[in-house]
Amino acid sequence: MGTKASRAVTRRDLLKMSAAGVAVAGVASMGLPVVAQERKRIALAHPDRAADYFQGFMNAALAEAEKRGYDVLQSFSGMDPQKQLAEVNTWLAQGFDALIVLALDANAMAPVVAKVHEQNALFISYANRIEGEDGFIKWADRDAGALLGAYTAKHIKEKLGGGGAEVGFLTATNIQVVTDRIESTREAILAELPDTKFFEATALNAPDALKATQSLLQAHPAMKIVICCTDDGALGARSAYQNSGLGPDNVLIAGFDGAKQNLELVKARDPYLQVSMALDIGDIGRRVIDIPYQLWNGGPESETHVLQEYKLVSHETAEADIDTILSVYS
Amino acid sequence: MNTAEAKPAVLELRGLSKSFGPVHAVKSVSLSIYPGEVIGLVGDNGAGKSTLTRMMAGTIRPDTGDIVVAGEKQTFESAQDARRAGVETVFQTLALVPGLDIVENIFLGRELLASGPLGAVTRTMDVAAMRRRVQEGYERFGLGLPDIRTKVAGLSGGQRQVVAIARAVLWGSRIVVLDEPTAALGVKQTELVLSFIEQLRSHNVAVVFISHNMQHVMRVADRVCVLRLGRKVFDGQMSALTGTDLVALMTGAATAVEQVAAAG
Amino acid sequence: MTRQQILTWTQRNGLFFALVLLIAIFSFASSRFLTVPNMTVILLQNAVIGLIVVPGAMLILCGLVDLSVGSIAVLAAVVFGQAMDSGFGLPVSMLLGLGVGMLWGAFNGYLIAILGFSPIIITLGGLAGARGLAEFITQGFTTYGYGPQFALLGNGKLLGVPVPIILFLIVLAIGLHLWYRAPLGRHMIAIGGAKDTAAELGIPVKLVPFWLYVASGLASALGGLIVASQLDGAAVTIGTGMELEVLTAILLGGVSFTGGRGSLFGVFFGLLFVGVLSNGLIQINVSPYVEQVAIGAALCGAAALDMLYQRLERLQVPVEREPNEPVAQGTGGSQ
Repeated sequence: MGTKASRAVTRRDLLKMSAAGVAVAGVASMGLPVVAQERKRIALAHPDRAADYFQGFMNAALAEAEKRGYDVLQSFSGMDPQKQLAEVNTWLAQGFDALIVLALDANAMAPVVAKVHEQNALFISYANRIEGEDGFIKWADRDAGALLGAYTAKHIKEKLGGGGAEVGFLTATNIQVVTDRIESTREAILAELPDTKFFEATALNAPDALKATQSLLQAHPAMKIVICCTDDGALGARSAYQNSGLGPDNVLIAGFDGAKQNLELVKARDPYLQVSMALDIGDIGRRVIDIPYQLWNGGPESETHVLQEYKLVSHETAEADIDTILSVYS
Repeated sequence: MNTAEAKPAVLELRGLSKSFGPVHAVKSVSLSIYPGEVIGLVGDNGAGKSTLTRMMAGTIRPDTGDIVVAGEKQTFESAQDARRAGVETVFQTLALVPGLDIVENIFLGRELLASGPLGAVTRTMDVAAMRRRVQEGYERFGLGLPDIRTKVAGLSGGQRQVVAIARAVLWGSRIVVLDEPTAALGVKQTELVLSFIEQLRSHNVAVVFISHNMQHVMRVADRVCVLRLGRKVFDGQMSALTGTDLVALMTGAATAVEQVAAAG
Repeated sequence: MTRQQILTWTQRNGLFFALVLLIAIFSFASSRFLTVPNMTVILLQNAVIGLIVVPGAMLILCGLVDLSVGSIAVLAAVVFGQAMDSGFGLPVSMLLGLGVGMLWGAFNGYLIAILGFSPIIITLGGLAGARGLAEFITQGFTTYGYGPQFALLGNGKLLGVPVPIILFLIVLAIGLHLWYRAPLGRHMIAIGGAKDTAAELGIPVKLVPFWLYVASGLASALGGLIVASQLDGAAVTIGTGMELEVLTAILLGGVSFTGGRGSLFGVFFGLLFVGVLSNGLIQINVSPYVEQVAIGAALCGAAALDMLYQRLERLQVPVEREPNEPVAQGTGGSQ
């Protein structure tokens, strides 16, 4: 599980933390009841409200916020890097105490760090990392890709007779989390099977993945493996295979995220969709609120600089273990 | 044209008046129009020409007075009412759609449907019949227009004017009111329109020709009606008048009584 | 041929030949491209967009636009999914899904066609609003697993032809009939090109667009249900970016965005052009960037041709027809 796998990473901005601490202490000592009682505002830029895990994530975050007495500003910008940036700038104009952001475009988000610090607020990144951040919860995308790549290589060797296998990637070229996932998977497969052939198409969601896989299968009917950058996309790829007239023999469809439907399909041992790289959504939701709390209250670095590992959920994973991960959706 | 006047009037305006607030635009104007006759309606700016035209077109309602078409009293609530009664007014805007061809424009809004269930259920048009009818119209009126399937966008101003008038006539209107049909047209274009109007006379259509241009009125009109300050100041045969007389009547330099006396 | 004739010809047939050229290139590059199964897949991939494109093109011909199609699609799918989950049964759930699409279309139509609100603002509101409502209804939990009967809508075949393609061809046939053989086609051109004139001639300038919005809502809802059937799940991502795909096919097909001019055959070729391009580029394993660039270039080309055509039509035709006409006379003589 992700919680146990979380580990501390050395790097910390003590100065900012103490500044925030001084500010809090200063306000408290001035004895202004109204200001002192004002609830802290945490802006939570989680873009993908459409994702299946979103509600589990948000429930965990809101429960934690309730516990700490924080207000949460929710994001409605969607999966567009430009809109996300515009939304963050709107929040900056309104003012907040901490910004937690899943940056769709890490480079574009970098200048925001300084602006946040100008307002004496905290900048916390999650999913990927941004230079100058106060704390982070990084998804171990490249580690996950290495895991999935190794699993895929094993599948090729055992089921498809080794070399020369065809692998399809459904990806998006402009989102770093996604490219990290797919590139590291490709590298891990190539490390073991250098003569593997790769075909790439753009698809983040199920309807697009359905069309892309249909096209890929027309060109490469012998392609047995499709790796999708999201679990939603994996569902579309599965539909394409199911209705292609090609059998499920030795097919492997894998996705990232640990979405409910995908986990249930893996649990039911679906012949097509066999892998989901699952994040512990509940733990992430709790931590995006807990990290600012820890920073304001001098918590240890292990609680503010977190690397969140993925768990490879496959047909070999015990049903009880899948149920544990699924519990966040109930 | 005395022969025409022997027939009953096809359109009669009886004591029409219209005020806009304190302005009396038209004051008790009566006019009879006979089949096969072109009547020129002239007057200076503000004489009440356009108000009278719009009452005939059905776009404004008279305060008092009656409009009688072929002996039947009519109340026009809209332009469609006027058209249905057989009074078709062609305004300067022409009401043509440039993106459609001549046939499509002539039948726009009243397309012919195929007979039987094909037309009734599927709303399938009888395209061939519409083309045939326009082609027949071309021959009957000797229309000097390009091919019937030419887009109106590709027609000259005069040709568009002729299409707009032809639409009225092909739809069987016995009374056509033309609002400044030759304004903004060149010599050749004007000739196209005027010769078509002359053609209409021989097809027993009554034409009300509204114009500023005295030469054009004198060229085609059998009879002329002069409006001044909302009142009819002259109504008589064109042949009895000269251009100078007309201008004098319009500007009020002469009165109808003097003119008639002079002419008599 | 005069310059004007060449342009007219290019504007009418350019897209068709570009499509033929594209197919030729891909056939040359990949032996698996020009096959019956792949052509079927291309039609299948574009059947849903195609359904929505037909009323969409009619709206644009009237000088209007519907940007809310993708969001209506997802809302219909989500309402269907929730109804299935609540045990309404397949027929009622499908009717609810289609009904919500029609209702949203009627709402668009009432505000835009009857009350005269801006089509861009109202349907842009629908683009955000309908999807937001869909997300609110699901609360993040996608429903899935609707059984084999519903799967027939997206995955079934009739005489070997996938059901979505059949539905698309039926809608296209109705569209072509209305566009070319029924009075509606001319009326739409009149509404889009000269609305006041159309009204003066007694054409229902409000009711025609109203019912087109209803049709657009219904087609979008049907599209949403087809995708939900194909995925066997009412994913909240259904219909994402659909409005742009629909607009691309229509504008590539040469329907003037200002209304009053266009051909539904052209739109059909525009739809195929985009479909062939994205399928073919995946087949030859070219970077996904190229697809966007190619579609962008084709759109710019179509726009440039359209503008040139309009200018030449305005400037040259009257002069050409009457060579003896003095230049300053007639409507078309001066610039």
